[in-house]
Amino acid sequence: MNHNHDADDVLMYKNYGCLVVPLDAELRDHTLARTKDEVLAKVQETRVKGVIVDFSAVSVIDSYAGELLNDTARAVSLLGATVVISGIKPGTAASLVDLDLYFDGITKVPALEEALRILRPAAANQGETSHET
Amino acid sequence: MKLDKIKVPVYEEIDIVRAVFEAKDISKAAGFSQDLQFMVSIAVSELARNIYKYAGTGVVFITLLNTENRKGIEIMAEDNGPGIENTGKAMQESFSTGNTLGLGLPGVKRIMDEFTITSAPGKGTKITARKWSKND
Repeated sequence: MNHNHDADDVLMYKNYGCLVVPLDAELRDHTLARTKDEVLAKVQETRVKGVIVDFSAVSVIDSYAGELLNDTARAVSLLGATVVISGIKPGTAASLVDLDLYFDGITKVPALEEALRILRPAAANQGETSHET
Repeated sequence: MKLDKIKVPVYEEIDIVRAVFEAKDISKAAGFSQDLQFMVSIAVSELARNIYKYAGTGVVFITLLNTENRKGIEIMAEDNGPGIENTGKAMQESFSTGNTLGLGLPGVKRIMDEFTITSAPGKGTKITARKWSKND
């Protein structure tokens, strides 16, 4: 990488041919906007078949953040990759329903491992097991 | 001394994060369950964001409520922004039509136990919402 890591960096890595995007505990607006751009660019560049957006660290998603993530997921599927959302917490889930945010059409699983299990067959075609940032 | 009323002025985007942080902190101190802490924090995030987006500046007060048999959190979001002409429409559900003002207010109302809004064009907006803990 040719730039220093700072708090605004969008963290993502490849695992079993899937792109894993672990969301930060604090979802900042500009970080989220960059997450969308960078995830899309990475999917295009690496041709991964699966993208996992992991919410494990996140407790507060308001409607703005939710809609941005929803848009990201939809855009990723338009590029031909499957999106799986993992790790939404119970209190967060209850509030998402109250906010009318369902992430329709996107598979959700309780934990990252299950997301990998679901996406591994799709990613297997690529025969990749590399880890990278 | 532990403060039981916190004022978060909203001027820039980082203030939304700060308001959320304070909401988590105070609801945790009040003994709210983790789920309730998240719910209150999400409501604070919505209200602080509305101030930032539509009014530019305003203030969010987060208050710990202590009655004889229960504890609660009150969120008061106040601004002197353009105000809302039709608060009824702002509170309309979006389930089928998607035709809302996009303020997320029905969501906040559902998350919280009590909700009141006062607003008029040119007179700003004041929203008060409360969430009570379930343990009596």
